[in-house]
Amino acid sequence: MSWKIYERKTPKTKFTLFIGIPDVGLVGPISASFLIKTLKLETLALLDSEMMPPLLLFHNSEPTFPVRIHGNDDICILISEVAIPVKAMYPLAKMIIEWAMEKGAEKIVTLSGIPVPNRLELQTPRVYVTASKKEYAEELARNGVQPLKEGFMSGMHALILKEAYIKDFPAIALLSESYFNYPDPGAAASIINALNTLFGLNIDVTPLREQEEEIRVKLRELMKRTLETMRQAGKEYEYTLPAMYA
Amino acid sequence: MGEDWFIEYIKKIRREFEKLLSEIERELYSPLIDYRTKTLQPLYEIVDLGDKLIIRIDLSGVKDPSKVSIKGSENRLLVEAKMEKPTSFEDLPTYACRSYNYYKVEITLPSPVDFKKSRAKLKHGILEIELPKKIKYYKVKVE
Repeated sequence: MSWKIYERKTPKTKFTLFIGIPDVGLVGPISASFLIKTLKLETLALLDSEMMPPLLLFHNSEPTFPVRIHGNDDICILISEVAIPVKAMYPLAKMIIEWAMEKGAEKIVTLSGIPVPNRLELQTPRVYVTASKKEYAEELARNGVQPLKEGFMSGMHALILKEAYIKDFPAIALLSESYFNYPDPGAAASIINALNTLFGLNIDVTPLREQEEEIRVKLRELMKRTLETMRQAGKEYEYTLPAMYA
Repeated sequence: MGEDWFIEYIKKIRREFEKLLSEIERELYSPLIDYRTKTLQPLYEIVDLGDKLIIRIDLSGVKDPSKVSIKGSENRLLVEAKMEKPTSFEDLPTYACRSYNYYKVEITLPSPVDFKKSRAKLKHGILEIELPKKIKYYKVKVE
């Protein structure tokens, strides 16, 4: 039981691989989708596994896979438009790191959310950074991006960082303060602003903010499916203090 | 003859269990749309704070509090709301290729509540309803 990757085009080396997979507030796929549309990134590869539901997706009458990689010469973005079952997460994390290393990627950056109880009161959610090595996170923790010092992480980004740690590959997780169980385009806008600052992108988030309400209405179903997998992925641990904290 | 009450009791438990199971299945697998009433079902959460329940409902697109209707009984809550402008699902046959501008959701509450003391606020399209529980405390003397 594994993942297969069907490449249409090989990326040039020394790119950054961004990852947006459904999780808290759907911050990852909302950010990834916005980046793909804004930067007009073409499809580079399609990913599939027998552990996934038997789905085919259509965009503008064009068939595509729910999990795929888009890109240009400088960046690649892996997006999933479906919730990844927990049993499929482990081999996917392994395959992502192996693919990134084989293609000569410089680093991986996962885009996701961290649930905060006061999200409703926040005008601009803060972004936290953590990484497969402390030094990577410390280097990026500036301009309002804060280091995540304590606590558990669960889900795909946790597995990617674990796999990168084992293989000694640079992987960074950006986590925006987010609603736990509602799609959060505001949190995604904070992530994109952090990317602008940290990686020199120049992306205007105004269209994302303007579509915020429509995105929230339209992504209810995906959020509902994602909540089912989040329950199985031990997401409640993110509210738990580690034993060493005592 | 003496076992009849027991068989009836087991049948009653089975009926209750099947009802609960079908409610869970409906919750998990049914789409968040009711074509019959032309309404969208919003996402919601129930937070139990001990002496009260907090119900949060994502009514994205609803801006005017006067467009929200909240009705309740001791253990049921019915919320209906109208969006400022309709959201189009015109490319999606599973949404009957039309636009929607109404939300409707009926929530079974985990414990009885006192609706007369309830409060609600709408902020950024999230409706938050605070419902005090109907709990009667008895004092126990410690010796």
